[in-house]
Amino acid sequence: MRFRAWEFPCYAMETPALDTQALDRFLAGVERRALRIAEFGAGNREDALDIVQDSMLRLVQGYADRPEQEWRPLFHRILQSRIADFHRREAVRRRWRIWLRSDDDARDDPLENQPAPASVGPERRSDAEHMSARLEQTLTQLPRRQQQAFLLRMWEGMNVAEAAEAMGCSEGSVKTHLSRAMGVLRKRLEDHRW
Amino acid sequence: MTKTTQDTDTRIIEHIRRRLDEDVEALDSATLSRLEQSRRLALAAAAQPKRPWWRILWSGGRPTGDWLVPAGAFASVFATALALTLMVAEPENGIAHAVDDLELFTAGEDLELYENLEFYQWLENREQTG
Repeated sequence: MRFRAWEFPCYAMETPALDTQALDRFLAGVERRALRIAEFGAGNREDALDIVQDSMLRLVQGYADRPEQEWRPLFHRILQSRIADFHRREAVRRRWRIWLRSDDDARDDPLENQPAPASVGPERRSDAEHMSARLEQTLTQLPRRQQQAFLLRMWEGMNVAEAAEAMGCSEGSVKTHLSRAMGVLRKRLEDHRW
Repeated sequence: MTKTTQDTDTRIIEHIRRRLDEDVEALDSATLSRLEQSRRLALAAAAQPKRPWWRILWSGGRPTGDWLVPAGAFASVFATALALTLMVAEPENGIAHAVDDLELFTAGEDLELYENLEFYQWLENREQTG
């Protein structure tokens, strides 16, 4: 008996209807904080917006049929992956700029001249503004894995297992990264009055 | 960890949380609009019926997938032959190179990055000429 391909049960199976309302609620609830996390990772809002958009698309296209409770760690895993891809692309672009330009031209590299997003300038007058800028600068300058661990555990409120899944590492690594992040933050911020 | 250190950490964490929460609440309308647009795009993609890769060729309501099984088998044989050829061509470190090459051929995301290198070179040339 010869079966045609579409007569196999798996071939005939259609994608189950997705709960787009639940997806909408989830994405609406996570998008702002995801943008902030992507901003810390990418260093600017424009790239962060692209990263968030790409992450939303990938979640929907690849994992929307998963149980709803899995969306959050999956989305953050995708988000961190997109941030890592961004850094890899930037590294390649920087290498091209070095190879294709002279040493003199390298001084005019717009990426090199771009100020850090949280640079503290003399225009910061109030102590509160100064403190906020210093805080953001400190977070931005954390090593990427320490930054991830801190934001996912301390701000997103993920437990160790969820953060490990989002970061694609072991639970022990999450604890180590977080511990080191706290060490850096403590050293740079403990003297400030809140 | 001493209690003083714990208290310091708690203060730092609470302050950072408060600051970040204030940041997301204060996002400007243009940024919020972009986020909403991204969400709509993603949901529009969700509304599209997901076509399994083996049903790409749907012709006139009648599936034409009965050639896909032998085609899939041929593709597997071809990929294996390619890997073996690469291994034979470079006996030293042949396996490692074959794996690298096969991974290069099959990793879509990496190919996209390498394909964009020409764009980056064009971008550099364009910026140099102003």
